[in-house]
Amino acid sequence: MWKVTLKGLWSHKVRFLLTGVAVVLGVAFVTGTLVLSATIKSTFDNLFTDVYKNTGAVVRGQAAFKTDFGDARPNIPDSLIATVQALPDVKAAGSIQIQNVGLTDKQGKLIEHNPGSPKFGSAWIPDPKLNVYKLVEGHAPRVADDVVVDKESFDSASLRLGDRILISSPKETPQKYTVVGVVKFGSQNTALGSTAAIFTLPTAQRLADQPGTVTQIEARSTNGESQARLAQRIRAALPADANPKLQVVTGNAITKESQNNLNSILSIFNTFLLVFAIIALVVGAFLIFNTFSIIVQQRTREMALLRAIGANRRQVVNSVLFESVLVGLLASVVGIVAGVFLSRGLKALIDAFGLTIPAGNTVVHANAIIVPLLLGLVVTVFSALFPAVKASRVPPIAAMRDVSIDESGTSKSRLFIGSGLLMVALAVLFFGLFGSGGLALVGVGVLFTFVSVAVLGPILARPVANVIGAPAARFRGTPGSLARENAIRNPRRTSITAAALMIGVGIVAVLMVFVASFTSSFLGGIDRQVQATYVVSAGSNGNGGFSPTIQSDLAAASGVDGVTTFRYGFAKVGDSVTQAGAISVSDPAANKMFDPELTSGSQPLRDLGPTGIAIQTDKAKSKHVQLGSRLPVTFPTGGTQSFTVRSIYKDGSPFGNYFVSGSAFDKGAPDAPASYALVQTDGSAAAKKSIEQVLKKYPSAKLQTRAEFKQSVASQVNQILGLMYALLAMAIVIALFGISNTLGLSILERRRELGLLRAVGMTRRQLRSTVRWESVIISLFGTLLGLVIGLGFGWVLVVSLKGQGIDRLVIPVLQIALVVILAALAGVVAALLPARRAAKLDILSSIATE
Amino acid sequence: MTATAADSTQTAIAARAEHASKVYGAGEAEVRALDDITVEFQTGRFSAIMGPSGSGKSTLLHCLAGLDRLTGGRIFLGDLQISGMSEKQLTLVRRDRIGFVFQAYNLIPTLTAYENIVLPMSLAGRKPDQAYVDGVIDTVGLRNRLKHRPSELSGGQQQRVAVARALASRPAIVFADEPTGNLDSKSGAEVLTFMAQAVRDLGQTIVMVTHDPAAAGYSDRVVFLADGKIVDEMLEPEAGAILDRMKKLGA
Repeated sequence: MWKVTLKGLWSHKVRFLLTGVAVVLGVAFVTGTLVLSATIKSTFDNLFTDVYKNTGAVVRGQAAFKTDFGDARPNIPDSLIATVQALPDVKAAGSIQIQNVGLTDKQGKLIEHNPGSPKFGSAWIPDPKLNVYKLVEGHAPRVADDVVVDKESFDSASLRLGDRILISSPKETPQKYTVVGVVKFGSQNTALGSTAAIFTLPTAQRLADQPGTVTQIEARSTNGESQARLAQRIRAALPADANPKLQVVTGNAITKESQNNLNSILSIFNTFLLVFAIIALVVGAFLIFNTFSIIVQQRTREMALLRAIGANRRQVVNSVLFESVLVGLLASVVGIVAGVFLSRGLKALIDAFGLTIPAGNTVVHANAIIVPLLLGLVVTVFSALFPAVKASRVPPIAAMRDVSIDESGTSKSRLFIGSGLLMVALAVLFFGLFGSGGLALVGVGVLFTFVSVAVLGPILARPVANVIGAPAARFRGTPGSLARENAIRNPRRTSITAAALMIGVGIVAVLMVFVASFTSSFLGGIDRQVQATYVVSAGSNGNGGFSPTIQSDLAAASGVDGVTTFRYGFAKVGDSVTQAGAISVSDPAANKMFDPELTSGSQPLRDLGPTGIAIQTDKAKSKHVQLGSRLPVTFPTGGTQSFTVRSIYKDGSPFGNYFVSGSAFDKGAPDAPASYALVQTDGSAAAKKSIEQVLKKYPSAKLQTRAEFKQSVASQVNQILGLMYALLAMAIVIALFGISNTLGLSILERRRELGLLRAVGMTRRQLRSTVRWESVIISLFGTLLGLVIGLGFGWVLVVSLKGQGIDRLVIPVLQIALVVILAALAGVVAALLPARRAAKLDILSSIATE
Repeated sequence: MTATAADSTQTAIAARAEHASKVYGAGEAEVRALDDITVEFQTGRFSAIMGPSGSGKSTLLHCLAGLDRLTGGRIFLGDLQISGMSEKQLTLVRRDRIGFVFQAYNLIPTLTAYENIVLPMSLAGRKPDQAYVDGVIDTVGLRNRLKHRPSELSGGQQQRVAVARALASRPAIVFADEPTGNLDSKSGAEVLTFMAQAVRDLGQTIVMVTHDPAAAGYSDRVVFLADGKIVDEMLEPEAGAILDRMKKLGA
């Protein structure tokens, strides 16, 4: 029996190659994802280990609360440096880290290694063992306006020692500094793509607007004692009643903590990629299922013959399963190898979308091999199981029958099972979306919906393909109508092939509706709430910020009627950690540029008082607060304070869920820069000129009209959407392979018929056209199913997110039309090879085929 | 050739092979399927080609019909030399000038009987001559089966549809390759009767390959092949005489 199986495999190399491709692509995607994340993780792990290798202990403030990006901590007094330094055999230094300190080139243009990449400012650490930066040129900063920069910035902006450059910082008006030194980060010219501006400690303190404090104190021992011992000695030396409360941790603990913080971000990213990899694999499963089904069907006679000469059912099942194991194993191995290379492609893809991630040497962990191997194997074997069992049920008498007739399009049990499954799937989905089921349940619901539609597919295939094929039959003559007939003659085959495409298209459709609705809602919110001539935003991706002094500078510009700036920082409101915002306005009485549509209360958001807070309606509901309720709010600095709800505003504000007054914000999150400034002018060109003049001092600020701002928000969303489309492309490519594969197998099956057509005068061109149209019909069928499901899901999703600021449902008709056109073209592409193959069939031998 | 060849100046020649050779393989393994055959088939006649298996009769038919290529010699359909034509030209010749009936699997399963009958014309994008097609359909007695698919027709009915298709476009010549090989004798007789009728009443030209003397008995002339050569021929043949001749050939 094994021998028969092996021979069967060998004689159908091509079809197994095609089946294999589906597994290879899916497995490669999974492997690539795992390898890429392992590689990034190891790069960071090594980096942190290296950075903290000489750090024995760290003194810092006790965390106020935890955010997704690490703990929020207050600064600590710099007087403690001396306390630690005074200990015997201890070297210590205060370190400061400030975000969004932007270097500029000599033309005053912001230096960025990648769009939106981090821009750090810090204080020079004199002890070279504690300093993560190594001086390669010039000297350390000595006076207040000295700065040391990273080599990457130095080289890329063609700076020279002694150059005076403008540096923007989040808290003060940009000023000029003298470049006195150049550093490397370990062996790298830049620390993971960030720019570095390193000042004297007092300058850094001033830039952070937290005089007399440091972010943390780093210490090392010179007598070889353990880190724990060092930490203990430092702890003993520190004042017990310090404010804020202090914490001493070992260097190893800091390393671990940094690694963990990063890993939790990476794991989100990892999951994101894996979801797409799994989608690709599910699509692959459809393809494998279909291929095995067709093969089994084509081999009905062989199977029956085997049964007739005495093979029992188990042997027949086993022979099919053995094939699948072999295919699964081989393809998985190839997929894993391909995946290792794909990991670089994925990184390049992600880079291309502007999300820069560093990567060192490729790291392949055992799980990057075992997981995809198992997945590939299980998916293949599982997909082959059903056809295998079916094969075993073939009665020997079937050997006599000529053509098996596919009547699955009219099966009643299929209708019942399919509809039942669909209802269960929808129930699960709704429970996941609107109940307490959570995202995993939504995923299961979506998967089941796809499966149930795939089960119902054969019933839909005939009528739908009939309609889709009508234009082909009408306008392409006989080849067109033959194509239509061919597409519906095996409804099951057509529908499973189409179902593979349906999944990819369905997800694209969900994204289209979601993103279009989100963008429209968001932009609608801006339209309703923002009445400014210009929006000044920070950084190229809206990341980062600029000094709040922009407020008064802009307000003083000629032609400017008013300025409103927004600042954001982490805060713990009630029991959830979130971004909280504060608004500062130039002229509180007259300034109505930002109106977030209050639903209750009358206190404008710009005037909340020292302990007032404004909340978006849905947040007020979920926190069970009304106007006048007290709400505890914790900022990184200054502990927890009780705030009073003064205003509740409409859902879907593009500017955030919570607002407090500027003064409260200053106390709690003193290092938060301004992110946006709204500017109202008299509309004159002179006003614009004067604003531009002011902004020369704020290199990270970007001036846009309201329309341009909206456009840039939309394009940012589209960038992420583009990345998702690129990742989904894999699933769609696999589905197209599926169409190609099915057509190829069908052509083999229809050889005699094709030979006859050619004999009675069908030209090769007409035959190719027939195959092509069949492909287009299948492709459009899958696309249509996908669009219906996807638009349905998108609609449900948007409705379920009503409270999260998505208040409009937008069906992007143009994009949908584009998808349909692309699907038709994809069908043409998928048909290229099968059509060629069909046209090349030798007429005589085809007719003679037994 | 002989008496009929002399007539050919008067009676048009529908198909002619001139020194036709078909050689497979080379050297030791060389097989001569057709060995310098020269033969003509007249318009308006029902000719049969007979011979034992391996005699080259099917190869000759395929080459005459533009389905296979000679390795030497020439093939003419009427005045048109088809040997040396490109695949594309041959396809159009088959579509527009030739009708086919094969032994089995003559029909496209997804098309109805009627669609199968007019298939060559719809491939050419031509309107069928409805009166003529109706005549053919009535001759083969398929009027009430036109909407049926091949799977709903009996073997004999399927072959009748095939004959109808071969005739419907009023081709210059119809080639039939063992058209009754898969049929019981009654259905076979029906099909052959229609073919003979088509030649007599509609003026069609048919060349048929068969190994069945009874089938050949319906024809006007039988050409005998053995080892790739024409070894004999018979005019107005009769089944018994054909059988005797075949026995001599060792069929």
